[in-house]
Amino acid sequence: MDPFSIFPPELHRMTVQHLDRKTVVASALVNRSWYRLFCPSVWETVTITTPIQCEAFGASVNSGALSRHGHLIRSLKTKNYGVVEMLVANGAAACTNLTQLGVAFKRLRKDSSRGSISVIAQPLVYLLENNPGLKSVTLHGSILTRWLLMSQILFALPASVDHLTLDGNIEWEWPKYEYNEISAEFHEQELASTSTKSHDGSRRNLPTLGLRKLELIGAIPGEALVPETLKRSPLLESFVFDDALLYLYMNGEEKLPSVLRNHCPALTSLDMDPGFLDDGFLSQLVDEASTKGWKHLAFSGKGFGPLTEAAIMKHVESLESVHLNIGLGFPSSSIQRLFCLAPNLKSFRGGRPSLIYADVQLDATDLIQSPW
Amino acid sequence: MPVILVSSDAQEFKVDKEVAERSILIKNMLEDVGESDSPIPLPNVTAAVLTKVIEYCEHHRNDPVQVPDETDDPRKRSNDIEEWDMKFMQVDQEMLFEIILAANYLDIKPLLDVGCKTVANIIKGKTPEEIRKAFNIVNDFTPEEEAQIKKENEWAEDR
Repeated sequence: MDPFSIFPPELHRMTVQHLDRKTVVASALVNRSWYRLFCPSVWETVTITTPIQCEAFGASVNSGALSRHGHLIRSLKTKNYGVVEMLVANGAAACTNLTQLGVAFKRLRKDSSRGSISVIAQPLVYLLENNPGLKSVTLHGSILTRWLLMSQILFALPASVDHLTLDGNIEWEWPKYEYNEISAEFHEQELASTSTKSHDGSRRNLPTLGLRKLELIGAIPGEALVPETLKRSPLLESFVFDDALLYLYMNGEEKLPSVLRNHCPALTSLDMDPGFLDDGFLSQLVDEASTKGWKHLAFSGKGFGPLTEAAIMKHVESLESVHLNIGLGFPSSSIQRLFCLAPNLKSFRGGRPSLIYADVQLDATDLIQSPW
Repeated sequence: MPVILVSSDAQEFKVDKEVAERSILIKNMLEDVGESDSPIPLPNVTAAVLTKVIEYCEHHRNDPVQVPDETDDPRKRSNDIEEWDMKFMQVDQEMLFEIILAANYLDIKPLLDVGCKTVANIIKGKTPEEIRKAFNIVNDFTPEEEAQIKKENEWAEDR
C-alpha cells in the first residue's frame, strides 16, 4: 500500500525530512503521484559543488526543467558562477521564489561574448532583481573588489535581504586571455563611468535596504560603496568586517563611527579585525558608533589597547558578549570589573599572552559566582 | 481517575488519565470538559489501532514532554529509534500507516515521529523499483517520461 496515497501532506513532509537526497531523487521516479510529491523536495535546495553535478545540472536546465521546477527553488548555492549564468540563460524567469543565494565567482565560462564586468554581473543582477523574497545573499570571490560589480550588486539588492555577506578573499578564475584584453580598458573606462553613475545614484537616493546583518570579508572597495550601503540600511543590527576598515577610515570623506551612528540606529553588534588601525580609532568606533549600546563586541588582531578597553567598559549595561581574539587581551582587573558590572553578560572569550594558543572561554555566570 | 475511550467500532477502553493524556487531543478535551466520567468517542480510530496506540502510551507514560529542537538536523536523527519503539513498529504496513494516522489525529507527537521515521527507513537507500516493490506501487510512467525525469533530477544526488 502506498503510504502517501492516504497520508495528508504534513505527514508526507514529516517523512521526507528523514530522507537523504539520493533517496528523495529515487522517490521522484517511483510513479507520477510520487513525482508530484517529491519534486518540491528535490528542487527546494539547489546546491551545486562538484563538476559532475554542474554538468548534470546543465543537462537538466537545457532540457527545460526550470520552466517546470524553477518556481520551487528556495535556496541556490554554487561554487561555480557558471551555474548562475546557465540558469539565467535558460529560463530563470521561473526562479522568482529564492530566499537564499550563495555564489562563488569561480570557473567562469570561457565565452568570448563576455567582455566586461557589466556583462559578468548581468546574470547575478538579474537574479537579485527578480527575487523579491531573498533573505540571505552570500557572495565569494576577489572579483568583488571590482567596484563596478559591487555597485551593480548593491544597486540590485532587494529590500527583503536581511543578511548580506561579501567575501573578497577567494580567488576567482578569470580566463587569462580575456583578462589581459579588458584589464586596461576596465580601469580607464569602466571605473570612470561607474563613478559618474555612482554620483548620479547617490543623488537619486538609492532605495532603502532591509539589511540586519552585513559581513564584509577581505578587500572590498569601501570608499564610497560601504558607507553608501550603510546609509541605506536603517535596520542594521550587526556589522562584521576586516580589511574594509582601512579604506573606510583612511579614504572616506565621512568617518565610519559617525556614518554608523547617524544611519544605523539599530546597530548593537560589531565584529571586526582592526588590522593596522590604532587604539584611538577603535575606541572612537566603540564609543560613538552605536546609539542603542553594544550587545555583542568581537575583536581580533592588533590595534586593541587601553582606550578601546575603556570604551568597552562604558557599555557594561548593554553588553551580552565580548569576544577578544587578541594577543594583549583584557587585563584581568578589567575582566573582573566587566563581570561585576555587566548585568547581561552571557559570554566572554579572550586570548592572553600566556594562553595565546589556548583560547579562554568562560561562562560569565559561573565566573560571577566564582570567588574571582 | 481512569478515562474511557471508545473506538470507531464501539469498543470501550479504560485507561489511566496520565496515559490518555499522552494524546494532546484527549488532554485538551479533558481540560475543556472538566471532571467528567463520560466516555470519549474516537470515531477515526479502530479498536485494533487504538489497542496499539494505548500500548505505546502505557510504555511512554512517564516520558518527559518533548521539547522540539529546531537546530537539530532531522536527517541525522532518523536512525535513532529506541529499541522498544522499533519492536513496537514491527507490524504489517497497513497497521503501521493506521498507527501514524491515528497518532496524527490524536496528536501524539513522539509516536508520529517514530512512525514517520519507520516509513522513511523503509524507503531509505532503495532504488525506485525497490520502493515500488516495498509498497506494491505500479509504475505509471512511460519509458520516455522516466528517462526525462532521470535527466532533470540527476544533479540533485549527492555526489
